[in-house]
Parts: sequence; structure tokens; C-alpha cells
Amino acid sequence: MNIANILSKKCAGTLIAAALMLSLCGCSNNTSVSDSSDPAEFGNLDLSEAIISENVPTVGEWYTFRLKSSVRSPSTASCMEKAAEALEIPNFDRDKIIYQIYGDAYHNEFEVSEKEMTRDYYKSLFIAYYTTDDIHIDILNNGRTVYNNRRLIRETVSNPQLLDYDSVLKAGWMPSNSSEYVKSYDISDADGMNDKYALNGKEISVREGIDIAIDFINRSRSLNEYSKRITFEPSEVSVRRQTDTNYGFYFKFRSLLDGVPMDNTNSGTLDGWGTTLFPIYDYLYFNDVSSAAYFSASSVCADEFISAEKTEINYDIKGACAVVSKELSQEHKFKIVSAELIYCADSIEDPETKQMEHVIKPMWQFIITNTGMQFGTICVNVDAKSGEMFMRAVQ
Amino acid sequence: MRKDLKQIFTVAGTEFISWITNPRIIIFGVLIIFIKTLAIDPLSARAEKFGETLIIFEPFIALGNSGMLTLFIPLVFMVLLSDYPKLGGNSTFFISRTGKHNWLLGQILFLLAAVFTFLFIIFLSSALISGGRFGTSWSDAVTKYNSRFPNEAYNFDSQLLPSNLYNQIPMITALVQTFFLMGNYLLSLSLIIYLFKIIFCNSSGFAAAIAVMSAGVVTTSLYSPLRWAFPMANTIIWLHYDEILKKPVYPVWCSFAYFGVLISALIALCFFALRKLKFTED
Repeated sequence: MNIANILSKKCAGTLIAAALMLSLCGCSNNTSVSDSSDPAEFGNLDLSEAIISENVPTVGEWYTFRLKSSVRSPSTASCMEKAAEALEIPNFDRDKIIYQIYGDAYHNEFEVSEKEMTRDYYKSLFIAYYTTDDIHIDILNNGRTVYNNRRLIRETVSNPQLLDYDSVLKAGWMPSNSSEYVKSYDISDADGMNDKYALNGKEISVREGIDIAIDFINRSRSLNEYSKRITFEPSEVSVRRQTDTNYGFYFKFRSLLDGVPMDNTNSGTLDGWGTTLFPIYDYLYFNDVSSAAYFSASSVCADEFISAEKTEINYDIKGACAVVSKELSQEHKFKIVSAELIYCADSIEDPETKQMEHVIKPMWQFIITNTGMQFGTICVNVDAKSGEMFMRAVQ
Repeated sequence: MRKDLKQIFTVAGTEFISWITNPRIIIFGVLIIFIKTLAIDPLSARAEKFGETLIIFEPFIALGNSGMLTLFIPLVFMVLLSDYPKLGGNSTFFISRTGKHNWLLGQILFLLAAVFTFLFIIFLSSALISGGRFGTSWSDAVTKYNSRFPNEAYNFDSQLLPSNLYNQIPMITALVQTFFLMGNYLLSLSLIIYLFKIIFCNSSGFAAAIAVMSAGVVTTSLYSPLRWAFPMANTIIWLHYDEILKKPVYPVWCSFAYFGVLISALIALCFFALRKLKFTED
């Protein structure tokens, strides 16, 4: 019995109901192919325990998005200025942004102000940061923005003296590093979501904390035709104890594009140092309902929107399996844990400006475990339109 | 014709007996100890840690696919062969009786026998020392070890049998290819020694063979595309494959073709050089 049959038999009933919901929200058809795939069809793939999810965008169509990074250009300062405005940072002085320059063209890193920035300096911009006694913001060359409310940390965290070190002055600092782990929460645990903790004297539930965090993310980010289609869902929630009576919430949010999950393996856009060139996660630490103490965000800088083109899905799960089966060694049986149709990013550097260009498109992502490689788990992406295959190790 | 064949086999037999009874052959024992320490013991320890037994053929495949051992094994073989062909004293009369061509064909036959014997003894020793079991497919101790112990994946021991091998080709194919590619490698180096000996009547061929090996080591270590121009990379099977992709990095048949061309060229050059060899000068 092939996968198409499995999908049709197992999901026929639910698909009708699901189709009615598609215009309202993104959804996925999760199918287990246990005991039913035809082993002879893809001889080198073991699909017996694979979970197959064919997500559908909320807008009903798949798109290919093209973006250009706003970092490594004069937009960097504007981006930080907008973030400062959204985060209600008083007396933000753009002239006090420091640019750290480090690249192949220079032997040692050095720092300049915005007035001293040149076209060549932008090409080698490593990080731009703004630090006062009260706040810290930095924007890394991949667009990830880190925000620290230093005043809040000083007032609420038990050992804020860490902030006095020079090394910390120029970088964001996660307060959870100096607090005690209490508990992790599963988002589907409705009862757990109602657990309440005191954040700087005010008791709120985990659910309320999540809402505050999402509101904080949405307030801080710039929107364009691409970024306004991004939503966030928590993928990790944990509670930390700062003092005997004060707690903090640590959140990790995953990005969804038109309701479709984005590649969460970070495998598609890693540079040689393992840095994600197109980050999709936001991390927050809240210990006060008024503001995040720490915020490491992929969403603050809106990359320059270039285009969004409707994209046909030419490869269904069976077609994608055929591609993977053909491209992988025929002498090994690869165990497929999951296959999911999601949005994945490919990032390339513009050789002239050194700015990153990102292409976000629908891909089938196969997670394979038994490769015998160091990172035993790898992911194999198949472009759902062209059928081109990309192989990446999972970090 | 029959007389020619007899002379060829006589030359080969005489040289082989002289080679195998040479006291220098004791180096072979050192090589076996070295192989045991560097390859067989680590593989056995990994298998024990995994709770499995090795397949008796796996250590030999590891020997032919380890960068260090594919340097050391040919080195020992060349030391054993560095005196050959003997071109002085009685050899002059020997060659004049058999004829130059028969003598060289006999020498090539001797080289083939020496290479086969050398590799067969290594194969037999590694199989016996490994304490493994008979089987025709890769053991779990090889194929699943890195997944269970990922921190050890880039150790020297793990590189003895990398995933580029066991994910890509059946064990028996790997065994046969290792044997023949290694044999071709040893034969090529021996022919370089022979060629220089016939041309210059001295042992500069040993240095030339070392130079070829070294160039192979350097280009292979640097993963340079030039590595395929040297015998070493063509000998190591796993270099021909990606870890999991079907498409080979470099087709194995190209390496067999490479050795075919190289060995044929070296033999042709030996025959050409032999025509100019004047024994009266010895």
C-alpha cells in the first residue's frame, strides 16, 4: 500500500472537515504511516514509523518570498531606532550607536560611530550596539536583535553585578543564567497554563505570560509585506526562580509563515561558524509584566521585502520520497522519523554588498536518524516545486 | 614459447624464494604488531563497548581505508622490496641466459606473487587476530557505533571504517575492492622502484616511490582535487563516496582505470628502459 493510499484512507474523513477550516486557520494533516508503507517502493527508506505532515497555509496558497537583509546597510541604525521607539526607550541617541567592524579585510576588530561608517565598513559590520546604564540593544550581522533591560535586571535579579563587567556591557545577557530552574510547561497542558507565579510582586499565569510575550514581540517588530504574515507560537516555556518570592518566565517562540511552521532545525541557513543566517526563533525572559528583561529576536529588523510569488506544489509526499530515495545511497535503509511540508529559508551573501539575501519557499523536510554520522540525525529538504534536494545536519 | 614460459616462471620462482627467505622479512612481524595496535585492537574495543562482535573481514577493510595505515603498509612492502630487482653479480649471466624480456616478465610475475602474498598474510592475520565472527554484511558495531557514541565520531578509531563505506557499499564488495586497489597501489610503487633500478642501476627508485606516496598523503590530507592524480587517494575506497548521498565523489571504476593505465605505462617504460640496459657496465 503506498503513501497516497494511506493518506486517503486514514485521512479521508478528517480532510473534508479540515478543508472547511483552511480558510480560517493554517492546519496540518498529520499521518502516521506505521505498518502500511510499501517497503519495496522506496527500498532504501524506512517509512514504517514516519509522521507525515502536509501543512496548508492560511491564505490557501504557497508562496516563494525573496528578502534582502536590512543589516550591513545604513538601514541598521534605522532598524535599531525603530526598535528603541517600539520598546519605549527614552532619550535614544542614534549617534551613540557603536559599530563593530570585523571581517576578512581587517586583521583586528575595531569600533566606529555612525558618522565614521563607510560603504566598506558596512560590508564588514559584525555587530551594532547601543548601551546605556538602563538598556542594551545589539543587532548582529544576521539581523538577530538582542535587547536587555539593564535597569530591570539590576533591580530584580539576585546578582546583577554581572552587568558591571566590561564584557557584558557590549553584549546581551540572559538573566536565566543566574536563576534556578523550576519547571517546564507543555503548551497543550491547559491546567498547567493556569499556574501562577509572582513576577516582581505581581502574580500572573503562564498563559498570561505567553500573551504578554507575544504582545511584546509584536510591539517591537517592524512590519512589511512579509513580516506581517509571521505569527509566533511558543515552543519552550519554563519558569525560573530569581529570589525566594520572585520568578521569571523563559520563552522560546517559533515563527509561522501564513500559519505554516518554518524550518526549526536551523539547518538551512548556517554559516561556517554555525551561526544561523536567517534566524526564526525569538527568546524572551520576563521577570516583570512591564517589559522583557532579555529579548533575543529574529523579528525586530524587518528585512527588505523584494517579492512574493505564488508557488505550485509539484511534489507531493510520494514524489518527495521518490527524490530522497533516488538521491540517497541504495545500500542503507534510512529511517525516516518525519516528513513535513514547511517553509524553509535559503540564504546567500550578495558578493558586492555582503548583505544576505533570503529565499523562503515550501519544502518537504525529512528527518532521518540512523545515518551513522556524528550528528546521527540529519534533515533532507526537497524543494516542493522543483524537486531539488538539499542535505543538512541537524544542530 | 614453452621454454619462454618456463624461464619466466623460473625467474619469478627464484626471486620469490629469495624474497620470502630474506631475513628482512622479519619486518613483517613488526608490521602485524603495528596493525594490531593501531587498528584491530581499537576496532575490537569498540565492538566490545557496543556489545557486538566484529566480522572477521572488517579489520582488513579498515587497514586499506586508514590514511595512516595506507602509508605504513606500502612503506614496509617497499623496504622488503628495495633490493629488487638484483642487477649485479650473477644476475648478468642469469639475464643473458633467460633473455631480457623473459627476465622482466618473470620479475613482474614475482611482483604479483609478492603483492598477493603480502596482502594475503595481512588479511589472514587481521582476520585471526580480530577474534570476530564470519559474516557477509557489516556488523552493528561498525554501522551503529557513531550514533550511539556521537562524541567519538571523529576519533581516529571511528575513521578506520567511516560511514562513507558502510552506508555505501556491501562489505564483501568493500573487501574485494580494498584487496585489489591495495594490490594495485603496491604494484605501482614496486614498478617505480624497478623502473629507476633498470634506468639508473641504483636505489633511487625507493626515494621516487616515497615521493609519490608523500605527494599522495599531502594532497589527500588537504582534500585537494589533485589527490586523484596519486595512487593513495585512488586506493582508499571511502574517499570515493559521500557519507549518505548515492552520487559518488569519484567513481571507483575510475580508480581501477587509473591503476590500469599507470601500471601499463610503468611496465611499458620498464621494457623500454630494459632495451638500453647494458650489463657489461655492472
